[in-house]
Amino acid sequence: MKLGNPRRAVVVALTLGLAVSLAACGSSSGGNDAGGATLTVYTDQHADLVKALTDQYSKQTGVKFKIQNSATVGQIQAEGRASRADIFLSEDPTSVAELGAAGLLSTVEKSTLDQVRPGLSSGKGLWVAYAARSRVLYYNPKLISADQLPANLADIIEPQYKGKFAWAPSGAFVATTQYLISTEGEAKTKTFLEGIKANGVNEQTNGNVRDTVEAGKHAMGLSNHYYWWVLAAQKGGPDKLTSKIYHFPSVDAGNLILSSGAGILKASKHQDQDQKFLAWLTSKDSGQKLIATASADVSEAQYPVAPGVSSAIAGDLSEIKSPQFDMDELANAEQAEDLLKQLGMSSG
Amino acid sequence: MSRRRHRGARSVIAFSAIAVAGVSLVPVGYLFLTGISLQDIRKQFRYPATGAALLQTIELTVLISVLTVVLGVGCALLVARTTLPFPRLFTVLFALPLAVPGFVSAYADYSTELTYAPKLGVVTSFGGASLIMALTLYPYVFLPCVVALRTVDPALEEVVASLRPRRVSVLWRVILPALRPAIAAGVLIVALHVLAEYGGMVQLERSTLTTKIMAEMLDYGDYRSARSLSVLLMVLSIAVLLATRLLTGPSRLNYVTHGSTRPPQRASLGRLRIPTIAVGLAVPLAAIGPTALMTLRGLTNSDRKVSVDWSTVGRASSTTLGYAVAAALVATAVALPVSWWVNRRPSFASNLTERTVWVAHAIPSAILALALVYLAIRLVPALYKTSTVLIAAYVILFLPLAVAYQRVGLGATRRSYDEIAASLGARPGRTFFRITLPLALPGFIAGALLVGLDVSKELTTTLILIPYNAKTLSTQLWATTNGESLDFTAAAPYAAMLVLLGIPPVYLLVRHVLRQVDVAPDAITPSRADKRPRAVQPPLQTADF
Repeated sequence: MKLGNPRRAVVVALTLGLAVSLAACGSSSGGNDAGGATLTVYTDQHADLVKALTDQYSKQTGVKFKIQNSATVGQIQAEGRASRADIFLSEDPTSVAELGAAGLLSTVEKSTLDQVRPGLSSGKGLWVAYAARSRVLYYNPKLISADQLPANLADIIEPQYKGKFAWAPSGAFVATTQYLISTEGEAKTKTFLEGIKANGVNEQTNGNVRDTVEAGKHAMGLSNHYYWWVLAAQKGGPDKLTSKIYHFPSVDAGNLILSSGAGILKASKHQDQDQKFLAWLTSKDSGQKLIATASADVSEAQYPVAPGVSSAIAGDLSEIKSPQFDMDELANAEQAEDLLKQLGMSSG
Repeated sequence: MSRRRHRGARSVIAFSAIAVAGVSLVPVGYLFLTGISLQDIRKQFRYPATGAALLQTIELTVLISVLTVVLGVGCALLVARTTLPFPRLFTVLFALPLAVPGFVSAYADYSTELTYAPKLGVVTSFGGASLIMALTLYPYVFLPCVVALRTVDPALEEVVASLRPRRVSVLWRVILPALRPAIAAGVLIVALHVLAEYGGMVQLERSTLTTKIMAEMLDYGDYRSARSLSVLLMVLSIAVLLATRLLTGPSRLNYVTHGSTRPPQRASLGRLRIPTIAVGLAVPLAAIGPTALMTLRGLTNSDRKVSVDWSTVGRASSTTLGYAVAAALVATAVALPVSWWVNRRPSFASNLTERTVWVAHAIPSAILALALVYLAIRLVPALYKTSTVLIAAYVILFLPLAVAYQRVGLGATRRSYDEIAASLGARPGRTFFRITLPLALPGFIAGALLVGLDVSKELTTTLILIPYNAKTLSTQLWATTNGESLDFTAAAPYAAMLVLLGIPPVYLLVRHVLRQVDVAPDAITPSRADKRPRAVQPPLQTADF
């Protein structure tokens, strides 16, 4: 196509633009249909998992979904009273806890909360856990043998581990800090964090922690369990990886379980439909089964949370010796955040 | 009659330009509307890392700008002033990094290092990260410099060369001063990109004001602090605007002759030919090599079967293309009054208006997107989460690119041409279509293409404002980031598609901006030159944005 003639170029450009914008508008306005209701899900969970869950629910019930990936509490707050969100599906507990603390969530039906192992959902019933991850220690057996690993998280600041491990200032790290402050007090937590800073290397993200331990840059790394399983799936199986996962042998802050939570926005006009979806999501024969059996690409090897259902990849949640932790506390983690920032251990 | 109508048209243009600048300031207005406080800023600075991040932001901006000038000017001289073979091919190669999103090349470099030299630690060092960012951004300096280089009057170079026979004198006394406006224009775009970069900086483990702002929003849920720190970022961007204005400087070289300029002398490479080709190839290779390598490794990963859903890839490609074309066209239309006004009526008011559209370019795009969420759902609820608001966001974000390159285009025309046309009885509309547009078209097209390219790579705003369930190539790329790290096996089809889609615009860009680059020193004949109105360009003004 020659655009030499400017008038022709302008005409071509305008026609093209009109056609394209019409196409773009057309593709975005579809959605409402004759079948069931349409629920709008805001989520910061792994997009493939949310897609798999909502697709299956659509197939079974005819309910359609509009999905906002990478959603934030900030977006819902900016939307204000007119927010379109019916349901929020979080990856870490912090975002649902914040929505709950801001008074934006309805109470989840008790029968739904009862479908999940105790201690994983909001104590106030503002959100229900539908998946979980645990904190772990990765190690590279070429650089450190299993019997040399610390017996608990607190030991990692001992001199023999100096320069030997990676950590990341992720949301899960903030959660661990908050847990330590609420159980051990601020002074002890500060000493521990200073030890982490002095002994470890900040690799910024949990994904980097995994990759650097696997590549042999560090002997150990503090991260979440599922990153390792995701890499294992990418490489063709756990036996293809050099690094290994280590769970601290006794109940320990280093094994902390963190929930992915589902909450219903008070402003939603489909409260009944929302409750039904959450009931399905946490039922051992429906949503939980999908999370338990899906491939690592889809589930990210997250743990299902209904009793009796275990992940085909990562195992059963009951094997994880995590202390009890009220995750609603994470909505007010200022103390932890402040401490981390003072020590120069915050993210960003 | 006609004079009054002209004056009327003029004030319509001025009014439209001011309106455009006003709308582009809307996100900034939102910052003040929703509350910011000095106290929040002070609170943040009680933490040692905030001051360090601010300092590092400034250091990175300066170092990356310097590196892009070295790379951009160097590559421009190679293709426009030496006998480097295949200058057109090299021009495309040098511009190609424009097609790769910053966060993708940052992650590709990171994983390349981990794969081949895990203990090296260069990629995440200050110098390494700066070089990586510079390699993705130097085309913004390279392109205007090539345009400017062909407008330097070779007679001037010859005069200097005859007085001071060393080549370096010509470079220092003629070429570099002539390039100042082009360098300033490029550095402005580069520096504002550095200030606003998020994904790439996180992956390269560099803490900047923008990563702090994003952490306040995403990790600590403190939106007030995020907004307050954004004001600080705006101050930095204004400093950049002023600094590049100084860099543009009053430099005006004189013409030795009037009228048509001849093709310049090209320095013969002689024995340095092969090493120069090697260096020339090394630059684009360093910029996009790791991304290409990781994408190929991903596509050929035999350990794992990923069933690529090509229909999703196809749909994401067409959506991306649609948004890019729509935003490019709207931005072109909207930028026109601004570029026209400042080009034809340079004044304090028109210059201020033109500088204003840059400010929105410098605040983190997540803040801009939240501003549009806030406003759209209240003012035009029916349009919220439709492509209209998303495209509006793209236009606000990338408008400066369109304005800048339109000014390059309009620089090839002159007010006196309008006056001559008017004296011959042509109406303004006819003058525009017959005289101005043909001369300015390459600049207009270049601006539109750059906007389209940046739209196709954009992630943060897209994630927030994209219609429910819609997907673009970069959101799909992001969706494969299992555990914060790009999974190149699953991401490869999207990365490959994004780069493939980027190549035609980069090629067109090069073709339209650089008509003369491939013309060998003695190949241009007078008759050919006569057919090209572009050969009669006034020097320098061309690139003075």
